[in-house]
Amino acid sequence: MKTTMDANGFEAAATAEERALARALEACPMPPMPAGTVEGIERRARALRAASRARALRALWMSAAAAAAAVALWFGTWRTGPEGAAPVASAESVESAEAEDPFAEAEAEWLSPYDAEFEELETTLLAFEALDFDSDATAFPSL
Amino acid sequence: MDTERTEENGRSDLDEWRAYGKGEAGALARLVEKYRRPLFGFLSRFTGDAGQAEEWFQETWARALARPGAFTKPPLAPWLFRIAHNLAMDHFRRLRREGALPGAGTGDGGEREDGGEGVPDVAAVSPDRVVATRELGERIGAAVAALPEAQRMTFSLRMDGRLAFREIAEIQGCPLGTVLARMRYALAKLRAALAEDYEEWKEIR
Repeated sequence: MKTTMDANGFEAAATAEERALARALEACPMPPMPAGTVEGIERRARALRAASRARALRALWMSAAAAAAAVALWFGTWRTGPEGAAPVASAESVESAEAEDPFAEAEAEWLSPYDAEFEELETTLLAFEALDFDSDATAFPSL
Repeated sequence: MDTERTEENGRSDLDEWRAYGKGEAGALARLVEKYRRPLFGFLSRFTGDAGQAEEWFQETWARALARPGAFTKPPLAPWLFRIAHNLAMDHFRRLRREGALPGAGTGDGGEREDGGEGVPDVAAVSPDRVVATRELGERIGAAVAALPEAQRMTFSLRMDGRLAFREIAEIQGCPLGTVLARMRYALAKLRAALAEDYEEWKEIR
């Protein structure tokens, strides 16, 4: 493709020596552009853009996390007061917090198959604790 | 500036750039083809390896395409060459860190940057550093390859990129006077290294 590369008025501004050198260099053969060069460029550009987006997303996530931490810190200070007094937690608030525990239901559901086993284990432990080994070592009750 | 129009379709680089942004794939192909010689020539003068130059050529365009909004004001060439220049400089810095290259001088002519010889030793240039050239052009290319790094950059940005000295100064991050001095010293070394060729060259210019 014949193109105009004299974008900066080189021909007009350059010295005769520069122009002649440029022409001599321009006369040198140039290896042909490999097939698929443009596609390769587009592929690389897409990869660069994806990497850039990932970096931006990570930065956003980090700043959000930092903001959340700052809010939590501020909230903690607000709860404890400026002198660093212990947080005030009334019995009502504890009950309320337990009632609102989002994991309580899931935990109960997850543990329910083991209820019978827990009960049996508790009975065993209680019976074991009730034993008096000093009085009669042979009198081991049947569990 | 409106002197960047391709003679094929009369579109400016910015027109082509925008057309590519709108999905016209051929516009990018035309731009890449248009800047193939200057950009590839510039890059191959630094690496001396056609494969590496090809790699950098693609990387330069990819970095430009990754920031399409950065090119809003012509001309395109200085921006492209800035990206290419930074790629080459990163490469040199890495080599220098690894100890594969000696420290580069400023190339302003005040110091001996070419091993103390003052005039580049063309014969010492390894064949693989010589870009595929022909006769006079080949010898000029070899002499240029022997120039100190900063002078070579200046020379190549001027000769391959056809950039104005002001633009070269911006790319190299130095005063205009420094760039002019680098070019003057580069030409002086070329004249000395290619004395016989210069006579021949003067006849054909």
